[in-house]
Amino acid sequence: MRHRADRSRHARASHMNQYKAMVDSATVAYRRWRARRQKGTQMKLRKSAVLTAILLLTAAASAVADGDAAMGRKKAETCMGCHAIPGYFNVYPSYRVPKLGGQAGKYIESALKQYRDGGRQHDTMHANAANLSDQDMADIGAYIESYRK
Amino acid sequence: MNLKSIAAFTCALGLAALACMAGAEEAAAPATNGLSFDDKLKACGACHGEKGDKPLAPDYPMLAGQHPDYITQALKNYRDGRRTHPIMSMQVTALGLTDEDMRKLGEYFGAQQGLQTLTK
Repeated sequence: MRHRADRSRHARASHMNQYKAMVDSATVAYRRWRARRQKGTQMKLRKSAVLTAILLLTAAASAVADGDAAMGRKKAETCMGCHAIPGYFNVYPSYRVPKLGGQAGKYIESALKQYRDGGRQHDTMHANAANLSDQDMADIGAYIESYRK
Repeated sequence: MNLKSIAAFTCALGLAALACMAGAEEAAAPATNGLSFDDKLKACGACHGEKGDKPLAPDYPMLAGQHPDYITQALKNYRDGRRTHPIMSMQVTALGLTDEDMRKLGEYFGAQQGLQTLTK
């Protein structure tokens, strides 16, 4: 009898150990899962912070409103000194200054920015572009493109 | 970068690769990278429109009706680095444009209907 009791006690203990091991591994798995989830939440938070920053930056970058052709006409007064004279020549090297009427507004904007920032080298155009704001450039672009209509 | 300009850039890369391959095959004519003038003209038209009057992206310039000597000068400036653009700087080299090509491209696009002089 005692022998049988011992055996059953032994079996119970063995079951208890297996059960404990199961609980332990479940606990470990749960803790890992929770840690991952917290990390995930942190990542999500970080992602949304990055997204927000990008949105804000984009908003700041696009703070320049769409070009206003009527405003552009006034701001383009200086441009006329060379670009409204048919066949006007650039002096050195010698070539005719570009026709602009009907040119793409966005192209005009990017060209002016390049003259300002050095992506395109031309002393007179650099001097002119350096005095313009991004909004001025957008307006002038809109005015120039309006020749298409 | 909008989708169109990405597409155009990919297109340009493809053309450049083609141009390089063609150049490798015909080492005898390195100046033109083995491309005929028509090939080069088509490469320009791929982004600026066949007649230079239908640019692919909003910030690509119209070429139709531009002064031929201005177009030629712009191409030379790209070649010599006085003017830079991620696509154009690469294209001028990849297509192996000669001075004569630059002059002829200016004449072709300048002869099309399009740009006009500003009016006071």
